[in-house]
Amino acid sequence: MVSARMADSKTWKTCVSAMVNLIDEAAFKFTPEGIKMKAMDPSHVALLDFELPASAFEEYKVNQPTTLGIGLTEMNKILARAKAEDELTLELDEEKNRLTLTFRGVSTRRLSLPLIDVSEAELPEPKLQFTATVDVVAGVIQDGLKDAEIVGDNVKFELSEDGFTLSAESDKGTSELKLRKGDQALLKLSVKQPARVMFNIKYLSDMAKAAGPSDIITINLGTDLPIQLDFQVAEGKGRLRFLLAPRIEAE
Amino acid sequence: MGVQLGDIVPKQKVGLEQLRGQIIAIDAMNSLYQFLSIIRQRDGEFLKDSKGRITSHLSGLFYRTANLIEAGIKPVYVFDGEPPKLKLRTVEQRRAVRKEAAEEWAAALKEGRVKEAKKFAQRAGRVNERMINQAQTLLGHMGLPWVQAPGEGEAQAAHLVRQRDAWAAASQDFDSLLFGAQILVRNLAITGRRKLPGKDVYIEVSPEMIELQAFLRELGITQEQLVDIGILIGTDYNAGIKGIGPKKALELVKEHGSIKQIAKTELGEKFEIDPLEVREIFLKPNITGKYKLEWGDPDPEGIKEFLCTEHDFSESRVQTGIDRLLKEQREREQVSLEKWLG
Repeated sequence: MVSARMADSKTWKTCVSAMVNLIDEAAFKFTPEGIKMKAMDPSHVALLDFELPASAFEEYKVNQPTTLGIGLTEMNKILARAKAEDELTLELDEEKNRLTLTFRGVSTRRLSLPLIDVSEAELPEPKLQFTATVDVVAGVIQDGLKDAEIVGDNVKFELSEDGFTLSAESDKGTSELKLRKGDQALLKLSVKQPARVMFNIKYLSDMAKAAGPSDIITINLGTDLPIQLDFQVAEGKGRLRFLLAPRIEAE
Repeated sequence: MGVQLGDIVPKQKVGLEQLRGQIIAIDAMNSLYQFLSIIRQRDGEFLKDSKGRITSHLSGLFYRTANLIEAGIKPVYVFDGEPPKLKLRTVEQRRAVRKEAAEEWAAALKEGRVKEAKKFAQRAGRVNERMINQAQTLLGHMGLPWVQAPGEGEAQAAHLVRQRDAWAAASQDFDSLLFGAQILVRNLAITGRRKLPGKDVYIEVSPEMIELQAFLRELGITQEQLVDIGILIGTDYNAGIKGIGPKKALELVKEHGSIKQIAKTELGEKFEIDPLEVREIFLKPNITGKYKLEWGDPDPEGIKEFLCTEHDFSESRVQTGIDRLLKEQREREQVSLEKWLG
């Protein structure tokens, strides 16, 4: 059996709304320890790695590992109907091969969606040696990305011992966001080697939607390496990780 | 010049955009020569700075290379070193042609025959040591690598391609194929509208690509046999046999197997130079493994100082060229994550 109850709908709503921008369908693995999901977007530019342990739930009942193939667009539509403070229960209806979502607030509402066949191919673990890492308040990054979006399609991340810069440049103009060491929004900074790397803004903005403005994002970088963005889920019990391949000079 | 394979080579037209992201080893001497002969004033006179120094080669190198970079191509210019001894005769002949053309040009100009003057002027073009040094200085300012060949530039360019350090060799000559470059791109530096020499007719020139393996397969011959065909027709190192063109040469090589066998027939007497010696130049070329291909950032100030201050180029036009170099720098390529997934 698969049944999981959370005190509110907010966590699940936010996570799914960030996932749906990158992938259409996903194989969620429910095990007695918790839920995991890992998938790449169709162009293989971005990877999504989601983990939510049993301890993040009020009640969590999974007696044997079960993989549920879910159409994210459909689930996102259903979750949009939930109020953030509604209690949420996810349940597998084995007989009908459906996932049922129950919102309990002023009333009890129940919606379900059919499960789909999704390939369960195991994705290999990425081999990455990041040289710089920083913890930043999400709202600041979201602002920097919105600034950069006015200017162009790409944004440059620079991380050094002095701080963090997010900038864009095109025929349309320039944008720059700077956080210096000691600034309030820059919480932790560790740089073995300064990193300079460029990314597509569209992907990053979609990813950044996984955070509320005051949440903390952990960013790992290396020159011409993918960026790794970690968002805390359910007060840090779980995490949503994004990897995005950079734009690099053609070889 | 080079070997005149023209007729039997299957060419494939390509757009510059299809070459995006590729490293191309360009025959520098061949390009500079092209620039000197194409880029002229109306009366056929070279472009010159206020001190009367020729700048046609610099203009060509800067603007045409900027075009390539804007198209996302990564050019590496390969410069000639010492020519093989056998080439001396060809070099002498070319010198004679140019000398004669220079005299005719002067005469035509004097007599006011502008059209003819231009024709002779184009033949009189000559790349000298100073031009080569200037070209290398300019490439340095543009942040582009260049390679000094110990021998023939085309042999070294072909070596870069065989080593997979470059994707293709670029030259107007077919010699790169004889040197074993898997891919040859022609018309790379002269793409666009081009006036036919001696006529008031313009044609649209676009790059063409020749794949060595496909070419050999189509003809049903080996790399060595291709070299043999070249020797029969004539190369920069031997005169070839009178009356033998590409088609006849192909027939002969297929019939006899190799130049060694052909040399044993009555045709053998017609070689002025030992064909096996010419063969060696192509099959065991004088090349070096010592080269480094590094792309740096263009230096706009250095470019302006060199072209505008020193050689009186128009500042606004040069700036447009610089913008093109920098634009490509911003346009980076989205890669996939696969590279990092074990």
